[in-house]
Formats: sequence, C-alpha cells, structure tokens
Amino acid sequence: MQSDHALHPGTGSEAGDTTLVDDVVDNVVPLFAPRHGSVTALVAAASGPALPEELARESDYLATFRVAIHERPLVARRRRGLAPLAIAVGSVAGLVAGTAGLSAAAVLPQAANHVVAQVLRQVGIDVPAVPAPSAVAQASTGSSTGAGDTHAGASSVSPSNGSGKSTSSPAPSHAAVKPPAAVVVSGRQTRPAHATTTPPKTPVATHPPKSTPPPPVCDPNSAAPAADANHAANAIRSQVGTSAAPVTAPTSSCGGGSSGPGSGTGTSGNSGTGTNKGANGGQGGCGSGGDSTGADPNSGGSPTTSSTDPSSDPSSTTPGGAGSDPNDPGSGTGSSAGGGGCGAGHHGGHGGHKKGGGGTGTPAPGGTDPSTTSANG
Amino acid sequence: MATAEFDALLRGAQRGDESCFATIWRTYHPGLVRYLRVIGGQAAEDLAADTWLQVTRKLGTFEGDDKAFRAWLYTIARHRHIDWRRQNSRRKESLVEIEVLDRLPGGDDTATSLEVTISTQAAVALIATLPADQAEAVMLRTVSGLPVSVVAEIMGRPPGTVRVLCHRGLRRLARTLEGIVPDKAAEGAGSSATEVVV
Repeated sequence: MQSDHALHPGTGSEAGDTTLVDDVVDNVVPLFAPRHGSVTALVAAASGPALPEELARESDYLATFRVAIHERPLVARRRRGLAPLAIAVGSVAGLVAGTAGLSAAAVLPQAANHVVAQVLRQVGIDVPAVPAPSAVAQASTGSSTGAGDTHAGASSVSPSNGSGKSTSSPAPSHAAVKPPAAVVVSGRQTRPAHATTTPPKTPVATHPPKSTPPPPVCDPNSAAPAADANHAANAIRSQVGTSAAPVTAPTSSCGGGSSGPGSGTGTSGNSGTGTNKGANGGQGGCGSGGDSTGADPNSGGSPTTSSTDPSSDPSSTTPGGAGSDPNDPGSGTGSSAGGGGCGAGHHGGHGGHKKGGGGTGTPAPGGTDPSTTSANG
Repeated sequence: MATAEFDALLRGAQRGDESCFATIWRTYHPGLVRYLRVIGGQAAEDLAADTWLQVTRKLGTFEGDDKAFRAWLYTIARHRHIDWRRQNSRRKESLVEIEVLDRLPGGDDTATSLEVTISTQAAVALIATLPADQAEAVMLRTVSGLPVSVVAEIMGRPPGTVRVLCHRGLRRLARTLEGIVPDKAAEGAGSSATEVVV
C-alpha cells in the first residue's frame, strides 16, 4: 500500500500520479512546501504503517469472517439454484392462470379463446365456458351455431347475436339469464359461436318481467339430438345471411345443459336471431334455441332450433314445445324456435333469415311463433 | 497493492481462504480505523467491526480492483457511521462553546507533540479537530489517497466541494502546526456560534 508519492503514502504509483495532478489542480501542493513541512509530516504520520494496537483484534475479525464465509455459500447456492426455477415456475403458472382467466372471461378474441381452450384442455385444465355476453339484453342478432350445438352449462341464455344481422328485441334479463357456459359439440366443450357481441348497456325489455313464467326445468338428457358437428361448423363458417326478421320473442333457454341445437350462440349470421329472453328460464340451459337459426347456407338451411324434447320437461307447458324439431337440419326452415322444449315458451326464435340462405324464418314445428311471447311455460 | 496481487487475494477471500482475507484486512484496516476515528471518534472500533462484517457478507458479490475496493470499504464505513450517528442522535448532549475548549489547559498539546515526535494517533487526532467535512475530505483524499471523484462519490458532494474542503482543511492544519490560530473569520466557520458536542 505504500507508494512513492510523498503526499499520498496510501496510493500506488499510478494512483499517485493521478492524485498529484489533483493536488496541483486543488492548489494543495503549496501546502506541502518546506515552510509547511509539518503538514507533510502530519499526513505521512496519519497514513503511516499499521500500529500494533490497530491489528490487535485480527483474530476476532478472522473469526467473524470464518462464520460469515461459511454461511454465505449456503445462502448463495440456495438462491442461485432456486431463483431460475422459481422464476420459471412462476412464469408458467402465471401464464396458465392468466390465459385461463382471460379465456374464461371471454376477454380474448374468439379465435384466441378457442385456441387457449384447446391448449388448456390438452394440459388437463378445463376452461369454463366462455361467457358470452348476456344475450338477454342484447339486441342481438346472430345466428345460432347450428344444430349440433347445445348448451353445456346451466346458463341458459344464448346470445344469439352473432353478426348482428338480425334484429331482435332485447329481452329483460330478469329471469336469471346467464350466458352459456359452454357449447358442447359431440360431447366436447367448445366455444360458443360468435359470442363476441358486447352486452348492451341498457337492455330494453320487450316483455314485462312479470309475464315471464317460472323457469322451466329442463332435462338435459332430453335435449334434441345434436346435429352433425360438421354441419354446425359449416353454419358457423357461413357468413351470409342477415336475418331480417326482428326477433320479438326471445327464446328461453333452459337449464340443464343440454339443450337443443341452436343454442343461439350466434355465429355467423346465418340466421337470425333470436334473443333469448330468458324469461323462462333462466336456469336453463336448454338453450333454446330459438334462435334460430337459420339456415346454413351450406346445408340448405337447417333450422337449428333448439327445442328440447318437451316430454322431458315436465314443467314445460308449452304444448308445442316438443316440437321444434331441430333434428332435421336440412329442413331449411331456419327458424326456430325451439323454445318449447324447455318449456319456456317464449322463444322467439324465429327466423332468422339468412340472406341468401335458405332460412325462411318460419318457425319450426312445435316452436312457437316468435311473435308470441307468451309464456308457455 | 498491485492489481494482480489484489485480484488473487480477493478471489481467495471469496473462496473462503482465511489467509487471503487476513492479508486484505491487515492492508486496509488501519486506514479504515483512522478514518472512522476522525469521523466517529470513540466509536471507531465498533464501526470498523460493523463495516468488516458487512464486507464479509458481501464480499462474494464484489468485483473490482484495489481502488474500487477501497471506495467500497469507505462507503460502507460511512454508511455505518451515519446509521450510528442517527441512532445516537437522541442521546443527551451537553453543548460547550468552542472558546471554552480553547482556554482549557491541554495536558498534551497535539501540535507540540507533533514537533517532538509525530505519531499516527496524534496526527489523526489533529485532523479530527477540523470541521467534520474537512476532516473527512482530508482523510479520504490526502491520507487514504482516493481520487477526488471517488471521494466526492463517497461523501455525496460535488468534486469541486471536495477540493475546497480538502484545501481548507490542509491549510487549517498548516496554520495549526505553525502555531497560527486559524482566522475563523476567513474560514467562515462562524466559530463564535459554533458549538461542539462533548
């Protein structure tokens, strides 16, 4: 530590040169002139060699070092070893949780939602259904996804909004209208078709809440037979058809999960329509379909009516409920309605006509006329 | 200390080599204690112990040469001193005017003893009589030989301020050693109003 620099005994020669320059700049050098010789001696003494008493406690410091050096590696190794792992695990967990949450909240775009759901399903995470915007209040339009779709969850109301082609009168959301939990195609849970519509801010109720019948009890098992998935896919893909017919009577979807086709998730504007009113029932799930749907252009207009088998629904008072036979995808009627099955009668599904599609908008058999909002149930 | 030599000692100490650490400690501890004695007075040893404890805990993360190590060491020491001063700030204090201290008959006059034999402790004690910032600047800049930029960084002052403090401190020491009473008015210290903590 001793250096040649007279003024800075504690520095090396290289540092001494630097400090010498500093000394000149600082105008300190004159203070070390011979007339101030005592200052030089003072600085030299202050930076002199170590005194014995200053090094007397060396053993204590070494003991401290010994203890600290034996503790440090353990901590350091543990931290070094765990840090990357913790970061990786945390990142993966955060990514999975985040995507699952976003998917469940339907924040992601449809395509992304679908992909996320598929990916998460592969890893064993069943993403709850994509909550479609409340169909009830929407004036939505849209077509149902097709015959094959059913509501998986209890949430009954299918937003049949879709491309917004058909105009349907929004239904009040009083009857426990819930977004579809999921759409199950062939036993698999899929995204609801085109559930991208934003919920209306101020739903306009066309039907007074009081007129709504009690929620029908739907038997999930009695759902209408699912249509061919391909057919549903085609219906989704078809972008045609704007249902011109306003849906005045929302279809109710019943709970239970399985319900008829035409869950109203609204997809490609094939059809039209139908907003679920939910009045019937919210719990439902049956997806009533009502909504119509219409016709798949590709398929020649299959009405994806949703109706469930009325026979399965004891509470269903809708006589015609049984009817709506969505089974026939090729019927070309495109209409819908199915509500009957769920007992809810209000459905209105009707008709979405798809432009160009074959949907005629006629109510499906058994289905009630959309215009009739009466509470069947 | 040469850079290569210091690097070897540092690596050895970081691996846990006790002899390497002992060499480093013997090299830097005396200057550290003197610096702490100037700024911390009687608590120098305790502060030095705290400083080295911190050094041993963080030694594995240190990277740099001899100059950087000294800067790091003195920075830790200064922080320890600040903490210590903060903890003791509420202790009971008796304020005595500095003129009273000037009139006290000194049992051992530092300047006189320097003329006879300049001891390290006496030199440090004399530097400690400077105003705190001047004494610290002198210790770091002149005694420890740290560059102005490093001293400025340690003290948290601009380099120009460090230069001024160092210059004034040395000039004051020179006058003291010459038996010249420092011109308090010129120093601008306002000594008449200055009170020291005993």
